[in-house]
Amino acid sequence: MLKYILKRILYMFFVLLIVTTITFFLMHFIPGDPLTAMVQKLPEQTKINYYAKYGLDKPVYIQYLVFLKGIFTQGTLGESIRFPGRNVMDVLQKYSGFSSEIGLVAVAIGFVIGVILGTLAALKQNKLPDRVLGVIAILGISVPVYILGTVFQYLFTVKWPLFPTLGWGTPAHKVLPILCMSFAPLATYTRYMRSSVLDVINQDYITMAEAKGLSFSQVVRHHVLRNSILPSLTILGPNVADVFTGSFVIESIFSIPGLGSYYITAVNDRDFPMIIGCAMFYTAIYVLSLLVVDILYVIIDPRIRLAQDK
Amino acid sequence: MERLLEVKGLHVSFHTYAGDIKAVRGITFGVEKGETLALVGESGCGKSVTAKALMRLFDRTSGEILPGSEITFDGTDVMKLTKKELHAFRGAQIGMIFQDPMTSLDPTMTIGRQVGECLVIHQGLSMKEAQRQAIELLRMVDIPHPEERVKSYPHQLSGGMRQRVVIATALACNPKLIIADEPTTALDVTIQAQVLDLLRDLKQRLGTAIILVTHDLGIVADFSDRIQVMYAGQIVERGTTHEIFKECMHPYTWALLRSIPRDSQKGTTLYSLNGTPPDLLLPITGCPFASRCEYCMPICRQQLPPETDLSQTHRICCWLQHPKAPKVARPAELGGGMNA
Repeated sequence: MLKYILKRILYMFFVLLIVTTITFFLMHFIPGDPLTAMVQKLPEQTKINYYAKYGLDKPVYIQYLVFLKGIFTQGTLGESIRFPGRNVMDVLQKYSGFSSEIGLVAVAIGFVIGVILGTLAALKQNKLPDRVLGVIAILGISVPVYILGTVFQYLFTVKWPLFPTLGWGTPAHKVLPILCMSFAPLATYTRYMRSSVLDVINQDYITMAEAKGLSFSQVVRHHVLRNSILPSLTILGPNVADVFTGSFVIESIFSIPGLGSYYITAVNDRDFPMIIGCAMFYTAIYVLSLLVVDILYVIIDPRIRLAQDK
Repeated sequence: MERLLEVKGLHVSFHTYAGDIKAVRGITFGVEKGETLALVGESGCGKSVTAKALMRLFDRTSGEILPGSEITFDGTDVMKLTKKELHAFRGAQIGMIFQDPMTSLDPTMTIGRQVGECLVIHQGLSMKEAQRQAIELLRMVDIPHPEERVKSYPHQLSGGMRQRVVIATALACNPKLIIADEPTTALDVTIQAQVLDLLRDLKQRLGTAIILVTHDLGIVADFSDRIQVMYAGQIVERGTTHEIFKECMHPYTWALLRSIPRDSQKGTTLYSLNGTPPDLLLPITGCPFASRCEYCMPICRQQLPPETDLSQTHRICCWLQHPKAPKVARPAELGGGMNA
């Protein structure tokens, strides 16, 4: 098991390297660079000096090697070009914290409630609760988050002023964004859970459990849940990864200083070091959460064995 | 002998969009203590549904035992049990062995826990104590190294071993009756024989009554005391094992027996019964077997034949038994003859 995990982490660095390389060249192919807007009105010589300062006058592959050298020798992702003095690593650390603070809670809420509601819907298949939950799930999947955010803001800050409209700081500030963000995962998990529970309760071992004399709730707790949670778990990994890079829309609507807006502005500004930093960060979290999900698989379903331990 | 189970006028229907499927159509039978009764018939004849009905095991299916059906088990009116009483009844009074051991065990739970689960809920044992008893149960069904096996998961066992686990589970609470629903159908032939030997041995040791549901007459011959032949939700012929094999009089039973391959017929084409059973969605007038019967008479299509006693134990639903009916002899490969 340990060997497997170490191997997976090693693979992760390869993935990181590949993603970084592709991102690096892609962003240099986009027209424009971080200095275009800033240096337009400056004298020619100053322009050249600026480009030389950031190494942007050199061919792309040289820049790439310099960038790699920075990572491997100093362990740094460099500094933002658009906002001199802003270390990319610091930005990632600080603002992904804000993003994940609401995002993780939102995904956790969505997962737990979604699993419960999905199970409920399956057990009451085609009855009223199932129909109601079906509508909620479709709403959750199809209503865009910016509409939901605006509606929530109107309802809970204007009509019934329960929470602050925007900003950051107190726990009350987090409630609405969390609610908004948990809605889509909640709907997704409800759908996944419903279909997998429906599949499981028609299995022979459920009939056998009933024949043993287990009550309905015992059957669900002992036999149904564990067997039907795997599909939901599969999408939990990517979901968690998304959370760290933040939701640009939610963060804009509620004025949350999360990573989402930095990511978007970095791309718009062609702020190369920031773009690469964000991409690497996202990749790392993504691969890590997939690893965690794979490990959870093994714990939940004994039939699944990791490649190495036989 | 003492009556253990008494079933009267059992009707089971499945409600579907197309209409009600009347899977079991008013059957009456009983099981004595310690007796082995076989329910035989082709797929869809209602034998499994009958077995499940004895525990009212239609929880989330559209199946319903129609009012008027009576099931009495050891003095308990099964139809009147509340949900809670029913849960206490299942597993403790009647144990059930399912057809396919590959799918009837929970893949995410150790077999020790699955066997012990029964003891925990019915006898209030702790998980630890239940595990200890589970080891004994596994030993009883001849699973090697039961101390290690309790911690295994189903996928780590072979099919035959899994079926032994299912049997151990059914036996866990010392039920008075075991329903074995096609217990060997999913196993290969050598394992079938082992599992049957085990069941026979357990039956003798524990004195448990068994209802064996099967479509395979071959395994019934030296296993059961009595046989009931079912067709389209009805019992068409019943008798002791000897009576069914040697003195049967129903054309359907003849057809079943004639389709068993025999050494003496080597080289000839194996008999097969043409046609399909009637659609259980539709009402059946007359004898359900009429459309496939070689000896069909006009009355057979109009009126359900009454049950005729051929002996104290041997009863049959067939118009051929009517005094006015032509005398038909048993097919030659079944030994011929007319009896009684």
